[in-house]
Amino acid sequence: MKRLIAAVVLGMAMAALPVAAADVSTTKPVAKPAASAKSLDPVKGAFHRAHTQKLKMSCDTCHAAELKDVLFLRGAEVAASGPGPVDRALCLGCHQAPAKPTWYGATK
Amino acid sequence: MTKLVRLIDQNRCMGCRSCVSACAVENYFTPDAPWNVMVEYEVGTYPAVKRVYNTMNCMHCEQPSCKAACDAVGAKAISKNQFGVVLVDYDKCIGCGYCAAVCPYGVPQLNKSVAELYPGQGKSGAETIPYKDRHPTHRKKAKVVEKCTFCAHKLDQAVADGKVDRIGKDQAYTPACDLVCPVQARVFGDIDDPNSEVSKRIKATGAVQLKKQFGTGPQVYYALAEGAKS
Repeated sequence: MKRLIAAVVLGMAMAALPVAAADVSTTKPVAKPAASAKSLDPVKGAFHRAHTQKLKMSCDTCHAAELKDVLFLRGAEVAASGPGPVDRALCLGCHQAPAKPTWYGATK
Repeated sequence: MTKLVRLIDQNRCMGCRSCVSACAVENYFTPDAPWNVMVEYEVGTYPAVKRVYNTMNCMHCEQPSCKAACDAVGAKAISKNQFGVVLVDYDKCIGCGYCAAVCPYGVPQLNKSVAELYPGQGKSGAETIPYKDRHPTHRKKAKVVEKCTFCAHKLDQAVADGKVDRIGKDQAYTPACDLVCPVQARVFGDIDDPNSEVSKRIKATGAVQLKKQFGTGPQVYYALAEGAKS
């Protein structure tokens, strides 16, 4: 009888384990660490590397000598010393898949 | 639901920049990181040319690309409130500048240093409010992103006073830029209310959003002047 009771108690404890684990995961979520500003450097960071190194895109694919889009408020931001600003309309050449929570849509 | 939008009527705007000045004083933005900018350009062919005045602030997009970028890097500093207003939490912003990189309007401004509105002339007006007493959107920090908040401090006050229905009508609950326009080229209010002034004016003028091709769903509408860019 004692063995039976012990088995039942053990079984109930085992059954409760996943629930307990779920409770822990909801009450103490493991926060995703924010990327450091250094790793996200607009030039050396992953964002730029994805286009220049992985996709092997040349500078002039995105950067123009001058920005003709007057409805862009920071058009002169990198024109002085860099390769020129990026016309965001160019991004739409790839980033247009709808219903994706990315910049303008996932890449096609 | 209340969804706040702004209408800017280019056929009325005369480029006086009262809206820009009002924003500067109300929100004491750093001159190098403006929240409201007047863009001017010419359309037509000589001699039939004319000037278009296109004041721009944050578009408070329904699907903000800045928020998507911020979430993707894990900072989660950008949020949309119950009115659809896009806000930056300066305490969470890591200054990576990715929101600025992806905004199709070039709105987010990475504020390199907190400067006085009138450099060298000391603090003026609202700049004298003690830091701790300021609205969170006015607790400026260096190396974080700033932008137009639709005067969130006024909207929060409307909520606190239980006067959400007076947003866009009462001075205390309406963004500063919309209050000062001398030619009523700016209207602010609830687009979900078909009887609101902004709803009627958007319908009457056939106003549109700028750069709709980006799919971000801006909450600022423009009644375009003839030949104006969109």
